Amino acid sequence: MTRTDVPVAVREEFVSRGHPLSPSQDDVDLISLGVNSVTLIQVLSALEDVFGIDFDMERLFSAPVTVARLETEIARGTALA
Amino acid sequence: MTETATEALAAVLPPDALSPIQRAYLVGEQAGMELSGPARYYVGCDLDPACVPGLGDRLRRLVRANPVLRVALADDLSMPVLPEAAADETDVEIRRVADADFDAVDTAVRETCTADTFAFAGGPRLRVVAVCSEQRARLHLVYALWLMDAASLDVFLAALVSDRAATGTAPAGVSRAAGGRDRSARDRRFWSERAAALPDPAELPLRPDWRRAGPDVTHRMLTVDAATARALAGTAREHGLTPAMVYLSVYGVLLGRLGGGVPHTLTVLYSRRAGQPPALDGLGNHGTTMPLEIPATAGQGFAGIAGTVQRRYLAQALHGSLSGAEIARLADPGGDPRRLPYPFAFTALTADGRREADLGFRRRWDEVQLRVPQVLFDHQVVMDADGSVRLGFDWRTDAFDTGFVEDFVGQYADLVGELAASRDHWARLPYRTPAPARPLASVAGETLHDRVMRRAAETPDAPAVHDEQGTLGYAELAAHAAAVADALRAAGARPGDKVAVHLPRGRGQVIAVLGSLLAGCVYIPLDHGIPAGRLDSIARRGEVRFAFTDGRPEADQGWARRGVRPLHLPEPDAVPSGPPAHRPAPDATPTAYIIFTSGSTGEPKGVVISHAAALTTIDAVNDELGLGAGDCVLSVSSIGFDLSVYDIFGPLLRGGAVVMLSERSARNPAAWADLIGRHGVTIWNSAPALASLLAEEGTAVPTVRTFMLSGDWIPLTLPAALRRLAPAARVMSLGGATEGAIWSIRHPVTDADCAGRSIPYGTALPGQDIHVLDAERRLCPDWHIGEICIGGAGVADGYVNDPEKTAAAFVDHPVFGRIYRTGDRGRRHPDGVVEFLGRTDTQVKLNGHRVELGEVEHLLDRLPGVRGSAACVRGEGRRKSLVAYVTLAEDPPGTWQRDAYAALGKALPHYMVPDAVVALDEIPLTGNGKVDRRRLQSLPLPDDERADAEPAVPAGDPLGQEIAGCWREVLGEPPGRRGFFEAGGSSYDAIRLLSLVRGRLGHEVSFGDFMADPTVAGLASLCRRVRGERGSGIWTYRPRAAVRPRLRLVLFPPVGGGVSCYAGLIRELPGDIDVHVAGFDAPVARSGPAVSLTGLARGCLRELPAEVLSGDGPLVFAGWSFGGALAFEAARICGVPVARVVVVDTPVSAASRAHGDPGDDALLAGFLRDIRETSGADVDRADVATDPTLRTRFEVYRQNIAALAAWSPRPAALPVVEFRAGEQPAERDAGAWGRVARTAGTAVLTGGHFDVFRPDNARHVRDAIDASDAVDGIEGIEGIEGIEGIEEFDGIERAESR
Repeated sequence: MTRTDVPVAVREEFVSRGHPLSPSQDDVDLISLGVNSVTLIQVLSALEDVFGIDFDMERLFSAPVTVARLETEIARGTALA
Repeated sequence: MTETATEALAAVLPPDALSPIQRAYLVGEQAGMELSGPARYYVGCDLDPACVPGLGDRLRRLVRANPVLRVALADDLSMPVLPEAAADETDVEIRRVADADFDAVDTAVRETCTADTFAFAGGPRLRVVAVCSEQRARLHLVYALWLMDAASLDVFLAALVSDRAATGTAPAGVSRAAGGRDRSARDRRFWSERAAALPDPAELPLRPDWRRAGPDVTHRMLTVDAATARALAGTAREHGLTPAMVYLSVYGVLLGRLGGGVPHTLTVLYSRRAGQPPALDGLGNHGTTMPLEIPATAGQGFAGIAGTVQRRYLAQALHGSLSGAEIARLADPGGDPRRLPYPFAFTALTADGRREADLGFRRRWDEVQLRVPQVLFDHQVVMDADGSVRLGFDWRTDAFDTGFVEDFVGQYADLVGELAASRDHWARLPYRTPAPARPLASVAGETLHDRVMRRAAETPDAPAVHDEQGTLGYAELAAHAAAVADALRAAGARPGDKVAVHLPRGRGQVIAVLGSLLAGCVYIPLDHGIPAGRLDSIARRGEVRFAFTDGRPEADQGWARRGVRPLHLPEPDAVPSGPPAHRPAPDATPTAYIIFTSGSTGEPKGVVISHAAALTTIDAVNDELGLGAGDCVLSVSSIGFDLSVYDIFGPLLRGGAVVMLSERSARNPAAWADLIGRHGVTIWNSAPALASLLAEEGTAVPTVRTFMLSGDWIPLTLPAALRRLAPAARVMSLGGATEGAIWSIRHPVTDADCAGRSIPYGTALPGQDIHVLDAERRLCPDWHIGEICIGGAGVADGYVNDPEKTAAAFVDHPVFGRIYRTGDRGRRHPDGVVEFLGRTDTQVKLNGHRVELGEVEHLLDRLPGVRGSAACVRGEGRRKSLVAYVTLAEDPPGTWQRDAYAALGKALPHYMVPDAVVALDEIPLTGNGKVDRRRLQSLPLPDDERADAEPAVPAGDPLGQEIAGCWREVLGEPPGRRGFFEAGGSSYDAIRLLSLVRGRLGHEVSFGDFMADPTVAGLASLCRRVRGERGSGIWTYRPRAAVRPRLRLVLFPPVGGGVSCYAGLIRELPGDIDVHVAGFDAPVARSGPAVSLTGLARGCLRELPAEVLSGDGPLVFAGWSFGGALAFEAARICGVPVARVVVVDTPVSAASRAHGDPGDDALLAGFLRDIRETSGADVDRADVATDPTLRTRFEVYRQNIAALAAWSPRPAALPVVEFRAGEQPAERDAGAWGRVARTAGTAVLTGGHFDVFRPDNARHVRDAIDASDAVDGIEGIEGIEGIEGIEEFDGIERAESR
């Protein structure tokens, strides 16, 4: 998966759970977009599986979670893996 | 394994098929668990009457499609799943009523379904009732919580009510983790780093016996309207918060504020489902729990707290492969599994009320009843698709103080409203200012000594002071005091100078105190035995100028060395015969005395008390007591303790008298009682420990009309003990601090108080105020824990020459004026009574747990034989241990120590059970009469108090060995002296153990009884006791109950009478076989003629439940060795058809049954071998004669050997399946059974007589018992072919049927 594919994959995970997101919302806090905690956990868990990473919780939740930040954290995770 | 068996075995749900929450619910229902109770949910729904037709069909469809709805929980927690066909027997109970009767019937149904006594009828754990009339219909559903989670309930209700219900696609068992990689190792690491550091749950006002609160629950439901909920959700999103997290934070913040604003932990229930609604055949409960820390609230804004809560929740939920129980185990590996560590629970759910209404039903949320075991307070937030939010609160009614939870719910609603209404509240938590404190009285301008001198003028001849020298009248006292004042002035004393009163107990102390005040000086009362080093410190810090001493040279030299001028009490020139002459008062100094108290650093602090402060307290107490000239106070406390201020001035301000002890009588309770009687003492004033000594002395003191107790926890048993000495006396609790002029709060103790959590601290004395303030020094709302602060006219001026400590402890409050921060914790109740929640020195942390020593002591004090107690924590770090010391009554029960451990173990969390309970002659007290905990900590301990030199189970105890075998099977290691839980067992393991003991050995021990002494020896003892109560030599039990048995099996005991040999076989049997086992634990006839085998068989049949011999369904009798003969004989005489008798290596021919008349030696050798082979116990021959248990077992053996030998089997046309041992079979003649019965098959098992139930053999015996194709009639058995599996076995011999 290329770097550009990551946000697409992230958005797909949300779409599959009933939360369509456009690229223009990549920097918007997902919770302010109406994503609830159950969905967020499911997506994060799925992304860990898809990319074979473990999110660094301290870092991930130190700021609002956005698609762009997820992309960064995934890149960081795959580099460490 | 045969096909039949496979199907049958699959019909029992294995324990590991349960989700964590299902397991938790099942465990929590077991008696003996803390807060055990049913795990049940009730919901009622308004129903469209048009939906009533078809309800039954739709229910059956659901039951057929979902195995979980067909699970019938057996007594031993095994979970047989009924076949799909069982759904046909399921139905909705339809109650058709006239419209006029609808409400009454409907209410009755609801009350039945929600009653504490409700029980499912057997079979599946759900019940559906529909009440319907012409116009109306209502649905009532009650089910065991482990059946369905909230998502499943949504689907269930929709599909029950309507055929139109569309559902999701997720099948049963789908969880988030199941589809991904195994996260358990990672998650374990995550929780290992966090679990142990989780704080305790919030400290709420729980009743003292909350751990054993009854099943009664209360439900409240609030609805947040859609507009308010939307406003709140909107602001939440601006802060990056989900609405669910906001409600969780509201709940957490309120709990935290109640508990004093400190961090705390609650339990969050959440779902492991993949997200989609479950399919129609995917119902189940996939919930799990996690502990969640709520941060401290002090100084925090709501949004900040909620952000932290949300971050923690998300991070933890992403590590959700561990269950709450597993996390608890990580937090505290030795923790007590009887309890949920965090009993305040939260869950957020969604609902779609509009869709449900469209389908034809509407839930009646206000009538929901949620019964969750091991939870004290459960809060559910249900977010409806229509935008409204329902807030459910369910709590154990008996666990909380009356009115508390209702108040909490009100606060919750208020906070939600405030957060929705204003963004400001997100930055700073809203605070409701309580009503201002009432105005205070004033005593300004008066002094203690002026008031005493006024009394002296009024009643010069009245007795003022009694001591061992006699009685001093008021005039005499005034004259002596005036002489002291003169002496001081002559020595150069000026108003305000500090004068130490360092005299032995007696009148001299009173004279010196009063004289110092008359001279305008400030007195410093000092215990006569105070160490020299401390005197040095006091002299320096107090700037002492003069000291009245007893004249001993070393005392005078000591004071002189400190730069203090020693003085001796002068004799007055003349004893006046009338009122004292008026003397001009020196310049008034506001300070009356300085009392030095212990400082935490070891450096004493001098508390400066003004006349006004002292008078405020003393007047208030005197008014409360109605103290007058006829009253007399015994001054039992040291003068260095500020209770002495009241002892002296309390009576002297009102014309009463004080009785001063001597140094000799100061520690002699008998002398106190004597003085009380001699002088007619009416008021007792001391710390509780000294009053306990008086109570223990036991001498009646009927003149005492009030016992005033203060300075320490009052044991709940003490008031009653004191009333036994003086039946008319009242007991008054007083509290406060030296810094608040002796006392600031009082409470008349009632009998009801003594049954409560603790004696209430009470309400403020007139002129003073008690404030409970939060960390920001705002008045706490009712129920909230805060710091107790003293305000009003009793507050001290500060610490002498210590501005730093004074500034830290004495605060100028913008509303309450000058206040003293006590450092004590408390909460105010709605009636204004303040509850004291402990000083820091009695609340200790032990291995991370908050331990209140007072709670341990209260329990010990109530035990028979215990007079008093004191607990302390000894050691440091991980070697810290809790030790309790007790004083014993004259003739304590010999078992007092064991009783104490048992009682403490039953009532307290394991970490609060003392590691040792040690008897002392007396509890050491400080000079102030308080328990000297420092001294307790340094007392030598006897060698390991709990050590038990004997092994866990004596080698010669067959029952103990059998139980040890069960223990080993559960925990994987043999029992030691440690308890079951210390050895790593969980509550589930304990239930397994008891299930094994029941199923294998036939001993029914309740979980609760086991908890009292969860050791192998304790369990063995319980088993003996339980069996002993039955009183019959023959007993039966039912290790496996089948709901709809396909076959009933009765197993008869071998020659030893024990039945543990059948455990493996029973485990192999399919779940739909109803198993009964008979056994002997004593000879049937202890005297008279020997009992025959037929008589024994008849006895066994008599003990069986009636349904076994009802002829309802096929019946199989079986037995090993002697048990096979018994089975045959029982089948012959039982009067109902027996499908088969399975005899396992059983002798039947005369030659094999008897070997002549065996002597005692041979019998004993056979018995010992039997014991060794069946239970593993290596019994010593000599023990059989001396050990009553062994002796009885031997008598059973002897009885059965004799009965077998004397047996003359009468041929009967019974189908017998014979199994023979491959090596040295018990029946040497292979054709012997064929001559007495119709052999339906014969097979040879591998090994010898004691190997017949090895797993490979047991499976063959099982197949012979089960032989399902032969069930319809024995005619079908032609030789052995009828018994599946046997034909594959080597050595089979075909027998012809007769």
